[in-house]
Amino acid sequence: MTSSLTQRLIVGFLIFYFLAGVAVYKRTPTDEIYPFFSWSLFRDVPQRTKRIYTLQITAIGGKKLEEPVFYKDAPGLFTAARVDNANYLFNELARTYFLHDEAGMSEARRRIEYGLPGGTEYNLIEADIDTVAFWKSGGAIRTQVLTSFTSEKP
Amino acid sequence: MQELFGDRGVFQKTVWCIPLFYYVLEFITFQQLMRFDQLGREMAAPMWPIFWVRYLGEYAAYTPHLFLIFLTVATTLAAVWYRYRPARILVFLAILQYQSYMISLFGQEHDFYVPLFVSFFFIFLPDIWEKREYPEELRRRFTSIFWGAQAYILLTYTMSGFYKITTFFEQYAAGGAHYFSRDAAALYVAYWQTQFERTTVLGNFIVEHQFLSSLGLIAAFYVLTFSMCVSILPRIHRFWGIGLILFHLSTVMSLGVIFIYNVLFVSVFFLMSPFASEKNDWRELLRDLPVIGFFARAIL
Repeated sequence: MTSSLTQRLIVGFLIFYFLAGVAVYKRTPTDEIYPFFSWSLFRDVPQRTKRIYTLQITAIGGKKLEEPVFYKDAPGLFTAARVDNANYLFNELARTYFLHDEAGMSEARRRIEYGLPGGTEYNLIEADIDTVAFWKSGGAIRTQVLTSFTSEKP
Repeated sequence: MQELFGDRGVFQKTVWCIPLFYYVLEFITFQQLMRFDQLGREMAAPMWPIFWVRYLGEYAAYTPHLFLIFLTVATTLAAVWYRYRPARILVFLAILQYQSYMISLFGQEHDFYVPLFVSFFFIFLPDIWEKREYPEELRRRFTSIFWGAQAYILLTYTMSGFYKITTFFEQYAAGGAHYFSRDAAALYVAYWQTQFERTTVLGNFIVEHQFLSSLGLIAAFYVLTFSMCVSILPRIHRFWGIGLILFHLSTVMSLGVIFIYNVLFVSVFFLMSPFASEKNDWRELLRDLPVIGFFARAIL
């Protein structure tokens, strides 16, 4: 193989890779069909008012809590989900919930509930937040319970 | 650029850079070995390169061991015997397998795309390692493949910039905050720190000084988007490498997003670029910069 052919093949590969990246963009939740990736990381500027999905825990290991606790205020729970990027999983749970995708919900729940005490009850919450105010103080403009789950015994 | 491909000095420096890539892979392996306790979980559906894990049966519990041992053996062999193509093929296969495993477990794993494709390019390096005279044609092939790996790394940054442009038009048309909004950096920081549950070095500063931080965002956009142009501008390889490292520093200090492997690869491929000139004249450097160079040439 000559060096000029090598160079042409490399340039061809780079063009193909770019086009493949464009082709997989928005085709999957992660914008990739392995081994091609769009590299569209952090493309969206978050809006001032943003809708987020989170969890609210109402019982742990079968014992009801006096006050429901939001996920961010329960650092001892969902430890495996935290390693996994928990907020990504909550978005995934909400996405599959709206699509009535039972298999997708089961998969998201499996990853969220990994290592959780059996009989833990939690709500999937939709919250509208002021992005900067929420980061500073944690208050939401509006919250709504979408559905509730109970974790099975491990 | 073409004359550099056949240059003896450039070829010799390229030969020195190759093992550094494999040493970085060895470092990555050490880091991955420390993740063992995260890997014991059940995976959803294995991705196509690791279809075979379905057939492990009673040995399925040893899946993390298999992937980590394969990665360790392959990167160690390649760090020592990088001159031998079978070792380079093995390390490519190990990364392909390990990244597929990580995506099957965690849904995404972007850190391994650069090592995956660079190790793929390096499979095709001609067998010319000794200190002796080789035909120019072979030297040109060797350095061209190294250049291909550099260009791939730069392309990933340009693609990231490309989607920031397309998304800017979408968000601007929708009337919401967009990449060039005054509060864009503050919104990025507030939202992603909440999502990642992290506090960062510059988080507060960025939210409180929106004008300054939006200038930083424009600088990041420039470095990302025009990266690919730099592949054919060897005089600014080192300068651009510094720019990319500063970009990564800014993301870790603002969003808490770390691409530590990319920083190492940028160091090997750009701070040490065999194509970079030895003399650094700031006027020439400014003239070579994408877009800015157009104005610099008129003034300097």
